[in-house]
Amino acid sequence: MRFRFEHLPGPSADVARPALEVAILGAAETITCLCLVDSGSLHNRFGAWVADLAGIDLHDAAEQTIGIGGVTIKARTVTATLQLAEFRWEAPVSFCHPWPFDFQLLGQHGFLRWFTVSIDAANETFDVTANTE
Amino acid sequence: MATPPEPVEPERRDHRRWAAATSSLGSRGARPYCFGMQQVVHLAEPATPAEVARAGRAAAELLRPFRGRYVGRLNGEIVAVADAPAEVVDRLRADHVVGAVVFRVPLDPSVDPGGATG
Repeated sequence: MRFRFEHLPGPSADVARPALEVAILGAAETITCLCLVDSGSLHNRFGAWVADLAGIDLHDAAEQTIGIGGVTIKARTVTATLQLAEFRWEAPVSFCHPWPFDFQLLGQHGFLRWFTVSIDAANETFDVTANTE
Repeated sequence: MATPPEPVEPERRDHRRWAAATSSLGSRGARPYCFGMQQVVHLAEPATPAEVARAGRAAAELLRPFRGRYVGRLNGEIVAVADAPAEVVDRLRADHVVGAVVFRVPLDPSVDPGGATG
């Protein structure tokens, strides 16, 4: 699957990012989020608001303190069901609060082990191939 | 006692084969040359194609009025706008919109959230 970079308007210049629309399937709702493909992140990190709206129960998950982008954040990690196009997978997602970021993050263990990603920043496209075998 | 391995002379490259192997790089300005015993390919800075830049500007313009706000977007159109994601989801539900992506349009998209640790 080939995707275009997401073009985002900035105060002085626009920025193109390799971001994907990934759905997270909860008990109450399916929420489709804009997610940055982030090879610098070990794990999937989402804002806690996504779990709240999707109806994903975090009460039994232990709270951790983690650092993201220089910010200290509380995170609760559970296994969640995610979907990109027709591909669905279960992976740990850390739901974080506060979440001052505009993107959710797709990391190595929760995304890049399931998909092979090839980024062509010059042409602002990226190819995502599901690791089906 | 094990005999240490014989020193191996670095392989000398066949320059005709090297030129053939790298000929496809010529159109992008790549230039193979030798740096000591190592072959180096100098890469020219790539340019983003004009049509890609044009499409990108159009996509950014669609979002520009909503910087800092949460939106619901479906098939390239903004179908809901609010100050909180829950409000966007409520509006999508009320309008029976399925499959819209919900996100906050960054105030400054150059801020890097990446490199999560922990």
